[in-house]
Amino acid sequence: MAFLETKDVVKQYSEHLALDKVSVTIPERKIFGLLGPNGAGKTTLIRIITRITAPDYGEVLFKNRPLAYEDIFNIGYLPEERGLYKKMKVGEQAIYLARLKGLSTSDAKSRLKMWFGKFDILSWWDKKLEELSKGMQQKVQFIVTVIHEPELLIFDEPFSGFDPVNTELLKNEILQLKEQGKTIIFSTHNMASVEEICDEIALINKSKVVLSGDVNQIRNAHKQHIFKIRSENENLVVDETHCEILSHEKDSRNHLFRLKKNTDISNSDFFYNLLKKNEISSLEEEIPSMNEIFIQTVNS
Amino acid sequence: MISHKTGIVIQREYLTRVKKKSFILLTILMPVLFAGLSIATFFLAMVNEGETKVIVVIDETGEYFPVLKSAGQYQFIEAKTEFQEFRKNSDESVYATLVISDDLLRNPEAITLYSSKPVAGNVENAITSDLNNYLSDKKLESYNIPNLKQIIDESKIKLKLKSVKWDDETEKKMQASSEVTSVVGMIFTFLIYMFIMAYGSIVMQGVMEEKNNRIVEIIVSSVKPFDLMMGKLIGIGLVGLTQFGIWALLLLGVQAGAFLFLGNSEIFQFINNSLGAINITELSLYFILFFIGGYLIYASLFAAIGAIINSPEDAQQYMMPITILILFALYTGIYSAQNPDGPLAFWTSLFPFTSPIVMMIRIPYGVSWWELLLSIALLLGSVIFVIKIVAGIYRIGILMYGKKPTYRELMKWLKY
Repeated sequence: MAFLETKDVVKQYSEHLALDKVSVTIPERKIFGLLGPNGAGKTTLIRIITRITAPDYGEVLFKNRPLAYEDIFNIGYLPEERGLYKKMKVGEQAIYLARLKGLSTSDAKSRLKMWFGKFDILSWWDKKLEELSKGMQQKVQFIVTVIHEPELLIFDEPFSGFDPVNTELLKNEILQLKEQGKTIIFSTHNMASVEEICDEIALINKSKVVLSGDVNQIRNAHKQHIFKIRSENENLVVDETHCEILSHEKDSRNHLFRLKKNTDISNSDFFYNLLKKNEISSLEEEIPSMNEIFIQTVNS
Repeated sequence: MISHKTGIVIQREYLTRVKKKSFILLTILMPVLFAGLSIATFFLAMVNEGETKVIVVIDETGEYFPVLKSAGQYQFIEAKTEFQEFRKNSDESVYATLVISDDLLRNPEAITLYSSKPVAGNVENAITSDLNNYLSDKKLESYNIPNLKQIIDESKIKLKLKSVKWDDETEKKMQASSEVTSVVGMIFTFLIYMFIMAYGSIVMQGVMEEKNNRIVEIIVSSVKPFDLMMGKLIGIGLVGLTQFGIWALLLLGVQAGAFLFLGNSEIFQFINNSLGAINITELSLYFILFFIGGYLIYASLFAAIGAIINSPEDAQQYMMPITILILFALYTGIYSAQNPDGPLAFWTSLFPFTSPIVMMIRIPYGVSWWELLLSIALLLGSVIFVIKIVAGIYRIGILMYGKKPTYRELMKWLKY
């Protein structure tokens, strides 16, 4: 079921078209990756979803009805450019931001204490934000994003500024939120993390959606019919009409070949021919990484 | 009218500022500092007077030296030498040298004051007044009319002008000294100018801080920009009113204390009597009313500037027109003290960008109720109008980074 949908959303800034008929469907209880190079329009789309700005044309459907002002209490948003009051005490401003999201002071306080304990920053409650390290500030920022337990969470580059240990901690928190039934929009350039945690993606380039769908399906669809073959023999006997050898390397024991297969032959026939003529220890099709797909799609 | 969210914003804006040590210190120290400064200047002037200045008099006629009276601050010493000779031997302890070379009745220009440094005005005054009195007495004697000096003295009538403001109920109390009235008016005028400028720039800094911190993006994902702006304006305005309130209480305390210690002294009676004509409570209420209006109109403009700019250096360009407007208001206010019912005072006390400041100086002199009412109505109407326009700029500005917009682009934002 579509949890959130944008339909033909258009946003025009004075001299530049930020979004051109952008339609994305974000499934419920999934992690949705919003990808794209800098300036593609991701942040504008997020701002429209969070109702910070209004689209010029098109609509946003939230649970199959038009997104309303009250829905923003059901959204938690972690912007790419992090920001908190530097001179304000950490606990005080966390309570303030939670209250703006509709929590009562006492609710906000007890939930925050729980989260602060979980992230091991409880002792910093009465410190000013500027006294905290960058990593700790990021943790505070994450907590105030999720504190009101919204159904939809939007993380814009959540891992920037985190060390590997805290990145892992945060990743687990995000996956846990998904298990708890939250829908998550995840905007990033970090393609490795997309493969790891996203279920579906949409790739925006130059204000348009150029690619969208299930991550595994997309990767399969972008297969280049390239095969990795490991053999003990130095020579690989192939039928040159059906394929070409792209490269040949030798490591300590084996020879490593990369073959590109033509489309006029099925995988099984191709395998049969290879196995018949050669002694092969392993054979594997290369599935392109999201990174490759990203670069390929953006450049084409 | 005020949404729940605005309430939360007001609370934060107010409490974080009022709880600051600097606010508490400044609020309590300012009046003390101010009083201290006035007393210090007074004492410094006294100290200066304690130093004696030696003025050597070379009186070739021998007639005028006895007339010059050495008073505490300066001392006249006669030198029986020629001026040229004296000049060669003059030493540093001599402040100035007065040379009188002829009968001054016949030749009034035969007197010269020499010194190596510029001569203080009061020394010149002392010399001329001493000599003038002597010379005019001598001139009168030369007419040979008996008792002429006495006759002239008697003919000088000292006029004692009291200005009385008509008021049906309390006519007997209405004895206002125009000097006190203008001083009180001036104090309130400066106060409202100071408050509008100070709290206006606090609003600007607050908006800029949120924009530069990028926290604004988080806040506007839960609060409407308009509510955020109003919360900020109201919260910071309340800080201003709190400060004014504390000062009013301090003043009341000082007054009560002064009454206990100086209750019967002449000065206290004088001040009390002159203030009796001016209703300080009423004036304070108008101050609050005009402060709210003037503050909202200017602070919302400052909020727009804070939303437009990306760094404090950019502020100057946009602040210029507003600073000119508010300075114009201040100077019109000061000028209006001379003529509180003149056309300039009248029109500028209706024009909403100047009225809060100009009205403050006019109210102690008395302003008709319809003028006050019209002025306040125009002010509040403009406040609503200005806030509406500013809200449009603010909403877009706080999320715009990069280059600063031109005035033409600002006009475009209004149409979004």
